[in-house]
Amino acid sequence: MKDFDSFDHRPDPALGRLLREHMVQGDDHEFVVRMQAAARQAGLGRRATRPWRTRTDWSVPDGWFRPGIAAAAAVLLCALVGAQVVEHRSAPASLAEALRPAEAPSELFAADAQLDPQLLLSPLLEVQ
Amino acid sequence: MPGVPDSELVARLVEGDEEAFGRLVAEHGPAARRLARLVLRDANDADDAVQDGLLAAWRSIGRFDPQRPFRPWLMRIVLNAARDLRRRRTVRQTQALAGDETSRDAPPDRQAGRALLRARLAEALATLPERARVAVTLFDAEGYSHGEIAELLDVPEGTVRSDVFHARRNLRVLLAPFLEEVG
Repeated sequence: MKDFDSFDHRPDPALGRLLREHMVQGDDHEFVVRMQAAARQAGLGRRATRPWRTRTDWSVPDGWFRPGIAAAAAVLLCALVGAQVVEHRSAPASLAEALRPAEAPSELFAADAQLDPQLLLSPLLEVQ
Repeated sequence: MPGVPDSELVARLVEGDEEAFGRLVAEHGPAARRLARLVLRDANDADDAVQDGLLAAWRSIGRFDPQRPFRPWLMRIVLNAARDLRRRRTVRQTQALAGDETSRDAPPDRQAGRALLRARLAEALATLPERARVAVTLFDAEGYSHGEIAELLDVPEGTVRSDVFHARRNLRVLLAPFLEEVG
């Protein structure tokens, strides 16, 4: 028998192996299944809400890909909002102003103006 | 699936993920069962205690500090569950520590040798106080440090060293022929 100091601060490999080998139950998989069933019965468990990911070489690019898409979407949204704001600033202030052709004579829109066919047709005549 | 760290599994467990629980049980269950059997000296009682401990751990997973290692936290809960069960039940002292664990493929003489060894080991461990039994097994078989065992058992580190010393001395005397074979 190997002379082993009982005060030794290192584990005793022979004693350790003996204890390990002869305390192995051998039904660990069945035990896991039993525990999962017990957890379900106790109302603790539910199926995974998100898929399991394994660590692969693609984990790092995958980690960058999602924030990249989110950042691009944010930039696009900002650009669209900015374009809307610019367009809004150059828009006419009133409906009458919006409907009025730029080249139309202002006399047409005067409330007390007499209806003059010549004046009405003047933009068309100018184009010709 | 191997390679998933405990921290990821614990985060899943907080969400109630059953599969994460299964993986943690697969990873730490065998050591938890051995620990409970050291306290209860009965395989069925030990499994009951481990079940109590594992479910209690899941219920209180929100109180676990993810910055700290998971296994000592779990083992502490299992140890308390085993002690609690021992208080509640009359432990069957005469039942052997190990159940029917022999390989069916082993030849009869070898099976007999293993059965004898198991019986002798159970007797030898039974002569030790619970704390010494747990300390020597965690130290020599499970690879725990004196400090980790002291924290688990809530005793000073010097006490653990003393327990391991006395337990080793007794076990070596009782198991001398078998230690010669495996050593």
